[in-house]
Amino acid sequence: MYYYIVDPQKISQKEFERVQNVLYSSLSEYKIAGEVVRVTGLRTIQQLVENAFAREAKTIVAVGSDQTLHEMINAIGKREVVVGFIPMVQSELANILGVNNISQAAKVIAFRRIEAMDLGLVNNNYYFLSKLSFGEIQTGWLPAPGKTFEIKFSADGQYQATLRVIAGIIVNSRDSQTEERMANPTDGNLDILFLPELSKWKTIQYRKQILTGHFEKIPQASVVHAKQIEILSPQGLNLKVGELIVAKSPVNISVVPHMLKMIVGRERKF
Amino acid sequence: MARSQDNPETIVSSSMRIEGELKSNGDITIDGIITGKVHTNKNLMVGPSAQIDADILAANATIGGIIRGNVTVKGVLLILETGKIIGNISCGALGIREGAYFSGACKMTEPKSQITEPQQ
Repeated sequence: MYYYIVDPQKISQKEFERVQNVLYSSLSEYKIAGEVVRVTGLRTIQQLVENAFAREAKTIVAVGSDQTLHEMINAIGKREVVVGFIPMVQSELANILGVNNISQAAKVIAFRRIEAMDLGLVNNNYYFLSKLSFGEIQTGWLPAPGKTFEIKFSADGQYQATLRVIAGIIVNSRDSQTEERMANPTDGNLDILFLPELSKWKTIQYRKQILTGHFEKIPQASVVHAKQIEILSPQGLNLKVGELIVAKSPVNISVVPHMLKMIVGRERKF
Repeated sequence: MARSQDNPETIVSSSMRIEGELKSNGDITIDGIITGKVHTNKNLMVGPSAQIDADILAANATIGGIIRGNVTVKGVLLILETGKIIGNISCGALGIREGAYFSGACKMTEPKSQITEPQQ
């Protein structure tokens, strides 16, 4: 049975009604109708996931934003179930998974191409599918990087490293327009990218790479790969998934290989 | 989109300092400071600002910085004008540019020559 958890948090009521109509007609068209439930102030994603397991759902589908999918993955935890995603808003994860809009995502779910994807795990209590970021970059037409700081980390228990950075990202998967070697969510590794201090001119020159997190294309950036990384200092550094702060340093981040059984489209980015 | 099957590159920038064993299945570029060991199955590029106090194992290596340690390379080892190696090297093929510094023993793999019988 399909269990759809619809999270209207980022859209207006009027837009939600339009989206809901498209959703129902798409589920009907591709013969993947199931139970559709809506997240409210009283019914959280966590509670709805528990309901799904109580009803012995074989497939749970997040309908909403990247945050909806992340919350659902965390509510599911280590339990065995197939997960789908239908984006209602602009979404990086939708691009990564190869699901562009509601209708196409419904078709992908009907086709049931399942990939075992890696998940990042923060302090053994928060899973992420895309990337974890730290440091300050104010976004806008021209990104405004914050002050540099020294970061110290250990990787895979094999070495310790220190360097000065403005920001960094720990990538499990990411959206990319070109073929790339890193950010593969099935390779059992995390890619850690560090953004160095940049002049104003370099900030303008590499604006796109800064905003999209493709730091490896910027001169003087550092890139390492690890299954486990521990950020030792500075203390109290915020680590975010999207805009949500999920932990503060010191923090331990690891990869859980092939943990998520995810329905993906043909146009996925991995 | 198909993703390249090659392992991604590791980049140690000039502001980075590593203590321990840096291991990779992909190419490594080092411009920073490393103490410990460096090991890759692919290519190693050591830039002019790099300072490495470590034993090195790589498939091929181009050295433009300072290395204090033994360098073992299965394929080609090239020491650039700015390169300095204090330690023993072992490689399949060796290139040393004018201005490079090397102090240590060198061992090279003997190329397998085909023994052909003289024609009668």
